[in-house]
Amino acid sequence: MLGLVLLNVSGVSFSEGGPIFFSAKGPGSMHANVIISLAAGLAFGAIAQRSRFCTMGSIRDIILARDFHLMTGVASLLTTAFIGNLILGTFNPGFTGQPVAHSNHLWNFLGMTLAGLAFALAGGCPGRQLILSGEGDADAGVFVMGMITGAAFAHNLSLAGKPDTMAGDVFTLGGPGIYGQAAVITGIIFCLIIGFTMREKLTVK
Amino acid sequence: MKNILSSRIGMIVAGSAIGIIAVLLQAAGNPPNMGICVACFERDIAGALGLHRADVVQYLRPEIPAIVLGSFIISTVMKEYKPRAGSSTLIRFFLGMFAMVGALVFLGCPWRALLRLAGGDLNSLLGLLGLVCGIGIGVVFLNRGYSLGRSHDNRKASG
Repeated sequence: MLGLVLLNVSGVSFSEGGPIFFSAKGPGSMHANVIISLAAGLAFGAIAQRSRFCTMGSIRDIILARDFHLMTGVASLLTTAFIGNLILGTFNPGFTGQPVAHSNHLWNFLGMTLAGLAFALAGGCPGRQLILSGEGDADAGVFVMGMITGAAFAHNLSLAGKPDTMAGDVFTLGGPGIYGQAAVITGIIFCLIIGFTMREKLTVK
Repeated sequence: MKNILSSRIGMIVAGSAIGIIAVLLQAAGNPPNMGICVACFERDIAGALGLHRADVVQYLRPEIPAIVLGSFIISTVMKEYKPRAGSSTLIRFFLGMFAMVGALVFLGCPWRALLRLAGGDLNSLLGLLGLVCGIGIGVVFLNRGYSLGRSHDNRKASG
């Protein structure tokens, strides 16, 4: 029933004319027109469903099967977005001063290591999980629900990385706090345990 | 049934289309280098529903349900809608949780990592490197016979 559960989520947002909480500032306050967003999302869903587009899958297929099929899609996404940014003048290379990002390399790396491992074990990147949910895969739906819960945890317990901030000339390095770092390590250990223990008995013989 | 978009050229078209839409969404007002980011938007939804109290990231992003609906509609039309469920549910839930924690430490899902790179954010390279590394570990497990079990076909309603 997941398609309908998420339908409910969207329904709620419509019936009340908007969510319960709106960000007055920060990334949450920046958003496109609802209709544009909806149309774009529908287009995304349709295109991605037909093409089986998946970022995690593209890398997995290359490592696992030397199959570059999915990667062509990823590469063309990267290229068009790059060109689009150039045209719109929003291309801004560099490590510092990037929007909603931090330059704490170690934790950028480890954070995505955890995410990549979890995606690989679950069989798809977040986008693909949404698509699978729409196709009727309740397992992917559960993964999505887990992600939303994870997001709630991440912000309630200050686990998420903080963006770099520039206050005048003072540059403050962003990145996760100590608890966030602990959470990443815990997560990696959890995924490793899952990876080691969850084996199909049939393939072992 | 012919599936044009799953061919090689279709893949390129699909990737390009997603890239273009994402950049257009940024131009239309979505946050910088965040035209579409599943992790970020799910987080914003969690915030909007009051599941967390970080007041800078709360907005009921319509993109997320729209993506699910888009996929639902097209798969129904194309007769690919196939309700299935039933393997290692709780493990998947926790994988999702930790995936999100990891993604939020980096501040973006893989899609946004690509968009950030396209926007010139070189920090994203580190993230992508981590992503490759994490998937690499995952592939090792896959090669060793890792599986969360077969999913079973399910009745229509459960999807």
